[in-house]
Amino acid sequence: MLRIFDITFESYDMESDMTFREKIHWVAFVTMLLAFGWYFLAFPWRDAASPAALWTAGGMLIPLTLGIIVAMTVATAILAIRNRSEVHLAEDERDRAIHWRGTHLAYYPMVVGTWACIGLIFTGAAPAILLNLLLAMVVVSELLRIGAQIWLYRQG
Amino acid sequence: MTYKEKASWLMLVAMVLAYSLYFGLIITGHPAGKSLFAMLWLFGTIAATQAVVVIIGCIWLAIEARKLPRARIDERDRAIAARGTATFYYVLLTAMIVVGVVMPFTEPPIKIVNTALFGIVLAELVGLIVVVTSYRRGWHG
Repeated sequence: MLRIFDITFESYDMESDMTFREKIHWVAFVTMLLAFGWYFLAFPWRDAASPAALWTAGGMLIPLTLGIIVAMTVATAILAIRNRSEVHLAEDERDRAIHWRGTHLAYYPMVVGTWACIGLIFTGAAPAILLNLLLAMVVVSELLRIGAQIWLYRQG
Repeated sequence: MTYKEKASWLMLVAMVLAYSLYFGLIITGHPAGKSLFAMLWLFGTIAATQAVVVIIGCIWLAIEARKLPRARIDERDRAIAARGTATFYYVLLTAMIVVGVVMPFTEPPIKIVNTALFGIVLAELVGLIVVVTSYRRGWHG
């Protein structure tokens, strides 16, 4: 009986330990949130209808894309080095279920957003507005997908 | 075949026929490739016809499925549907990045609309192909 009571935890927060996959999701979520948060706040919305706004968007998106790639690569490499034992683990049934549920949630804003943007073209919307709305739709869908997956991992 | 598999085949065949016609006409110089309203009219007619055919077909398949011993949707059907949805999502995501972030710099609105529609159709077709091949290959999640 005493042996049962003497069982100790290896660490106090074993339940809250994150898997490698969950950490990668956090990195993707935070990187996207910061990068596109900056983009949508810094974009000159007053001139969005002008032809020059399209090139402004292009000029902002190139460093932003490169920044995301570099940040994700560095963070993933650091996490992979720190979690070597988990890197080659295949996706299990729970990971697949979480992935599908997240994707299923993101499917709706993606489809609705796509049709809304097609409808917007008929109203004669400026190319920069169209670009930003399609981009916003993609970003919102991805944040929803990754956010839902993180939430499902946390829920256990 | 289960009801879900038959319905997926029906949607796949209806989509291939309907949108081969639509994009075939666009490629051969139909006014829908140049004017937004001609495009809206042609796409609306073809999409509505396809939807009516699929709805009638699904109702007929559902009635037929009631005679089968295992008519209810099970865990495998749900897993296959989720796999198809995930594939659809990634194909549409890629298509929308091309349409929304690359094409506004170089292409006119009518071409952007038709490419966006092609992206939706392609994503749906790839999703349905994943579903029917999963059934055929005995995939179970």
